[in-house]
Amino acid sequence: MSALLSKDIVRRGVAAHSAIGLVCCALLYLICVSGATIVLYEEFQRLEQRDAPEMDSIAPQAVERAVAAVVASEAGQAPTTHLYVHMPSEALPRTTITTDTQAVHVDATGAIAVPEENAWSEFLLALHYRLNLPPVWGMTLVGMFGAMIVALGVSGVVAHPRIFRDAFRLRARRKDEIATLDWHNRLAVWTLPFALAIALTGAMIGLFYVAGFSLAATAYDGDSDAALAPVFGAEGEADPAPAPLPRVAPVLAHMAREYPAVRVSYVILHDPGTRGQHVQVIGEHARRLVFGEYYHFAPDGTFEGTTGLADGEAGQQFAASIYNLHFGNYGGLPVKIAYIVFGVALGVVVATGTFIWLDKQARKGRPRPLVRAGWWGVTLGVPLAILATLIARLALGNGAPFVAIFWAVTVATVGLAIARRRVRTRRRLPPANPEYAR
Amino acid sequence: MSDGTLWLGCALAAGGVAVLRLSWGRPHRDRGLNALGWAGIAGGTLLAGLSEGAWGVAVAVLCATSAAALLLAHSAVEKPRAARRSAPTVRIAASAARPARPIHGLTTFVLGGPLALAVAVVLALAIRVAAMRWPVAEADGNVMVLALVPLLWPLLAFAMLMTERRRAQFAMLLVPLAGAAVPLLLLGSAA
Repeated sequence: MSALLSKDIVRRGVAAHSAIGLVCCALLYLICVSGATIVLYEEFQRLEQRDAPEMDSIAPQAVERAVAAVVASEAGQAPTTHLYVHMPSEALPRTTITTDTQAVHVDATGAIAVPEENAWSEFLLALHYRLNLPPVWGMTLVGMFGAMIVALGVSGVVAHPRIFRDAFRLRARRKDEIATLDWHNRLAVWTLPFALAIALTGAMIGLFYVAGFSLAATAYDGDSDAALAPVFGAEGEADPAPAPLPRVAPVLAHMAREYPAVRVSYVILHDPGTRGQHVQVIGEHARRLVFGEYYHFAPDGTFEGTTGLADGEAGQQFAASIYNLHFGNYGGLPVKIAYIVFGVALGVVVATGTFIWLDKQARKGRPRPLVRAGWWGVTLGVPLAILATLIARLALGNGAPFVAIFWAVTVATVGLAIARRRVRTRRRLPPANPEYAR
Repeated sequence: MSDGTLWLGCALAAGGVAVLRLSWGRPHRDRGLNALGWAGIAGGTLLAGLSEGAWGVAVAVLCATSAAALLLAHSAVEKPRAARRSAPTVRIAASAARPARPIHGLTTFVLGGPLALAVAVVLALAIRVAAMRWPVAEADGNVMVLALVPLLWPLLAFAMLMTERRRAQFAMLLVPLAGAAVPLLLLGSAA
């Protein structure tokens, strides 16, 4: 590697790596930490609401009863445009129905049990997805940071001429600048395939508002749904005239009979209770990265075909694989644990990267004690703030102001770290009347 | 293909990492062991891919990375060798450091950030237009745009940061932009 890259290229690689890293470090660290946490999204939902009814499976007739009960509970309101039935899975063995206005757990008989209470898990997801900002801005910003991880990965490789020779050299017990450098380089090198995979998939999700909207604007008269239709399928024609609710039981019976190896993860009712309604099933395929295949049914339960996410065009399969590859939910708990470990490692890489820059600045005679203290504040503050929101969830319940708590604790930790450093610096200041002047 | 093929692939990929650890830990380069290690990783990933497709590749890569993490964890708890004296902290004279140039930095940020992103979007749209005439399916063309933007932008930004000459940075934006204009103007953006 060192023979391939001249000293000048390495120097410029280091400079480019530092520049990108410094611009991105704080929010990138937050995205990495929240990303490593949200891998357990389903498990957290179980933790949040331990009294929700759980089941290994649910009978098709019970699902149909549950759908009818939920729609009946919204009588007199504006009809929901979509109704989602989450079917019990190994990670989240609950049946949950979500409409435009509510989400409820149902029991194994199809009766409404309790409202869904997972505000903390949703807060964590929103923190990672969009930094608690409005979706367009937040997702785009997170997508941009995902793309910058790609740039950091490439520049890091260029900046690291002894990448292979030192690949297992981790002098962690030295507890000095060399140890910081080793932690950064070794973890970065070995998590590079993981980092590139999650960064590219994350950037694809996040930059949709840039890439997808540009595609829609130039090729589909600004209709982003039309741009996605060749990939994920199109919504049916709406017809608001009232109609009886669609039959869900025959749909599930058809899936069990014709596709016994496919696990139904969601049943989606589009425009339920109208003549334009149709039913969509998301079926998970074992040992595939795709999140599932869309199976389409008429309101009477007649099978109409699939979209092709599992066996259609390569682009469809690729697009359908992005979510699972990014969130690590394609291989049960072992894969989730691996994602948490590598996600934490990525957080360590970001944190140590900034410390390495600070060390270098100090060696150049430009120590930045307040910036260092602030960075310590960020490094400790983000996980502390997430912990604080969890404590708030357990102590105050589902309605706790998670966003305010998270940002308040983060900012307070950073402020405290800087203030503490200031006090220490003042104490060390030389006396007003130095010795040589006496 | 069976479960056995998948797990053999995973074992080979993880074993390849272990062989590389052995090879790179030696005082002198061992090309045979190096080749064996890389072959283990590549062969194992390929085997897992042949067995279970993209899912198998993802699992094999996770196995290899986990093996590396375990070896690193071992290195982390190892006592550092005391033979070599640690290099004294090198202090670079403050006078040698360049003065801060905020306008220069801001210009570089604008060029490598929003402008490079805009060029990446135009380039991805142009590649789609050209690919659709190849032809590729509409789904493939559209996903190509979504996938290329997050790939082209960071590569372009990195390339721009690797040069210190402003003229070269502008050229890196203008040349792909001109290249992208050809299919977009000839074939139209909706092709």
